[in-house]
Amino acid sequence: QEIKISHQFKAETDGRDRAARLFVKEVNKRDPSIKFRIYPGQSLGIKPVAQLDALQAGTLEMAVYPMSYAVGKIPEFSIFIMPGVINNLDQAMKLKGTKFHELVQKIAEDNGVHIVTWWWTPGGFATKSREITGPESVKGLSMRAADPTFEAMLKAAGASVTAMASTEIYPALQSGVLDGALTSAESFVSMRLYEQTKHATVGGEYNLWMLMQPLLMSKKAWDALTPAQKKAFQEAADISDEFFLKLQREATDKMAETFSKAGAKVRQMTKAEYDAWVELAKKTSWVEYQQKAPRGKELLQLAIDATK
Amino acid sequence: MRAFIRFADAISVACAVIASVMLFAAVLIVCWMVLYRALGHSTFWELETAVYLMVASVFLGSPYCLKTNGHVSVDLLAHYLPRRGSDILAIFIGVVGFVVCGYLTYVGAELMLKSLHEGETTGSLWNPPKWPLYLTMPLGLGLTALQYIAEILRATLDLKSAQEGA
Amino acid sequence: MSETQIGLVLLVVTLMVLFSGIPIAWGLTLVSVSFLLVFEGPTALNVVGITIMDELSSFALLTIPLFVLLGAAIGVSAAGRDIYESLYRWLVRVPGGLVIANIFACGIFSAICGSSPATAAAIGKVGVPEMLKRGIPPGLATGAICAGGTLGILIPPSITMILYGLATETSIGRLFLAGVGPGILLVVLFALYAWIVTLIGHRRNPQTIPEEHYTLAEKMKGIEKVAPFIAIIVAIAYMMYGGIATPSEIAAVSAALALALVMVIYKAWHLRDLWHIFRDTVRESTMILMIIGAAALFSYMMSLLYITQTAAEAMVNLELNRWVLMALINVFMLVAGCFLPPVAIILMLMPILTPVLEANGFDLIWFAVILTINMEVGLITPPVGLNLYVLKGVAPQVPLPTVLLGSLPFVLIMLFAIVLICIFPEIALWLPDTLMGPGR
Ligand code: NA
Ligand code: NA
Repeated sequence: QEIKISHQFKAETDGRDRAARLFVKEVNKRDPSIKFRIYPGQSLGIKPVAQLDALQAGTLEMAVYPMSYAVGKIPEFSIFIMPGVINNLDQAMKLKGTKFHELVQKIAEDNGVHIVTWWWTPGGFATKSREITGPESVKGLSMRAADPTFEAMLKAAGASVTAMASTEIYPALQSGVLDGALTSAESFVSMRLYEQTKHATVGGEYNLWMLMQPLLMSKKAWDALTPAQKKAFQEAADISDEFFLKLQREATDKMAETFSKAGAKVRQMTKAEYDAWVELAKKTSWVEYQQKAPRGKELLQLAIDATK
Repeated sequence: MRAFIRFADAISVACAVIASVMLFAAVLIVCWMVLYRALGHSTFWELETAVYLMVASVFLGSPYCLKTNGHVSVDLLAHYLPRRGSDILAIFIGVVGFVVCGYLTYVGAELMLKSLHEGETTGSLWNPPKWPLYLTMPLGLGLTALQYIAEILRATLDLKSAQEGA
Repeated sequence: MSETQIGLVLLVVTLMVLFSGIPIAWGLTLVSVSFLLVFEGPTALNVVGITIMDELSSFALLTIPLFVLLGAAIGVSAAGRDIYESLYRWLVRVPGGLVIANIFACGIFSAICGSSPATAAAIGKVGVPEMLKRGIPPGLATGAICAGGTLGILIPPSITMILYGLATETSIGRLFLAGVGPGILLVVLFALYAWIVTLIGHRRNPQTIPEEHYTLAEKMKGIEKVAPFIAIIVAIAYMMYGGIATPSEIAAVSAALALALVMVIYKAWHLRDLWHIFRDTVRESTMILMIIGAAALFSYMMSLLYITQTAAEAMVNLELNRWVLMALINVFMLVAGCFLPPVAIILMLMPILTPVLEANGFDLIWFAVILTINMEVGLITPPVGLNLYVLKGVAPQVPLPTVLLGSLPFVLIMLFAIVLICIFPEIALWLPDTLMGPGR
């Protein structure tokens, strides 16, 4: 059989593509009969968000999928970007194999997809005019965050939130429509946002912006695998998780370095600032999430328990 | 037969009027959004509403586009065929157009029903349901298929009158 | 069957379907669905709906109807006539002045309008009958409008540049700026040609020099009429680079400005006038967007069947000299331009070409200009040349062979411009690099 893997990232250089290639290599070590074909950089012609539709329909077998894209169909998945729940890579990896993992896997399978890997990307803020510290620092700024629960928090902090496609971030920063943006460390570098910003808040132990972007598989395709093949997939996934974790630690450093080189001020969020954000998130993002997602409350509690 | 052609034509024009109003509304909404944001406010429902309206306007414009022969084609073959041949070709093209639009109507309806069933939303802060957006595709292309029936009938009438004339 | 074989079958089948006269949008859909069904099975069809819907519901793409609206609004008014008449008052003593005025008018109109047929229609509607009445050779008159009209997609704003930017993930603002220099170059070259041809004509036939005179006051009055359009152009540029709106939002604001302008200055505020504007807009934008939706489906099919990747790989592996490769790409685009409108070519071709261009070190912004000029040629070549349809409408008495023969010199000028831009890429890149800083 042939398995197609689709994603929107640049081939060979982006960590998500490299980890996908490693995954394929590791599976083929164990079972050479499975043929993979990777379609990087949106080259399959299916838009990033719609990859989920293709997975559910069984047209596409696998995709590297930023979980925040799914929240229109699966509101529970906002947990994968929820501010104030998972604050660094170590905590994110701690969730693997817990009850939390079991429940999100079940929710995913109820929606026709299977979570194969556990790839988390740290990110942060980059802004033009002033550095981002606590919630009061975004007041009056025009920001883009890409996730509704996150946006609810920024709005409560007094920022004006602007919706736009990711491809418009660069020109919007340039023309001043946006004062700042939140995204992953790798995207900040690949989208060259350091050319248009003067301040970055990134990395460290207290990270407000964490997003899972794993390899998802169509449940139909997953169910069609033999038990031996499933085992091979799992082993390959574990190896890719380790690799991806290492890449992401490097990506954060690389972002800090790139921004510094471009003349931007780079800082990490302090515990006090982070705690202030969490207070706000509890009153805004968390409330909204539990209203929108039927199993949100349960998931949130499991995540908090697992990362204690 | 002629009554049906008139009926389909009228529906197509009516759809074009609705499409025009929607497009005009979208223009006003985006202008409002730019102004409102320039005053330092958050935008919320504006962008998505404008997109919904414009997509609707595009699909609803399709039957009128067909009626006024606006869908571009390579019409080389028809030029070199004799009158009778080009009339038959027109009927054939009408049938193909009907089949394709019919298929896309089916596909669009399926997409819309699945989205309605799942309760799919856009996932934004405003978070409107997606099915109204998807509805515009089967609606517009379904009416285009209807207009194709009218076009096929028109071409058949032409063919008949040409035969009677000869 | 190998990917190469499937690719060749696809090429033949697509050509056959298109040549049967089936509308391009439905033809591309039919071919895509059939190939997916035959070579990939029914599950591949599960995403047909979402592929089309997702392509069309991008806000950046939906600026196309807005730019069409802008062109239609101004096109319905007498603005086209006003622009070239006021220019003509200044150029009346120049040989070929009326033709040159029409070419300049096309250039100015292009700076407001994003579509080529709309530009040709707006200026040609009054310009062609006027030129014919005053004894300009029919070929020169129609050729100037055909070619001048194509500038609509080179001089910003441009529908094809928007689509190119989306397909290649390049900055639309940068693409727009890259079109300015080459656009001016073409306007100057076209005008030079009209001047020389008329000059030679005058030697043979001296009594064709017009006897009109305009006082300075009359000339200045002409400028007043052009001023509102210049104001719109300046407003667009200010909003785009002054931080007020994103390039996509500007489309809506400028469409609203244009509507207001024709309603206030040209008194087109009757419901009937508005209906004409919106009717034409809905018709043209539906046509374009249906082709875009179908072309998106087509490129999904080509990629899923691995035809795109195989073709790109084969082109990279040829290891041709990069300029030989560029020449071949140009020939291919010119041929494709004969049969397909620009939007379809960009969506179907760019997934194949982007990796090839990157592997050979070609700048994607620079290539956008090369591609656009090729697409301009396609707009005035049969059988699918949208500007030819326009000319058929405004000057039905001029036979098609005369129109084509009259356009031929302009086509040669465009090819010459491509060569110039290959030798001096700064013609395209200087402005974006200066205003936006060097970069992508
Ligand atoms: Na233009
Ligand atoms: Na052509």
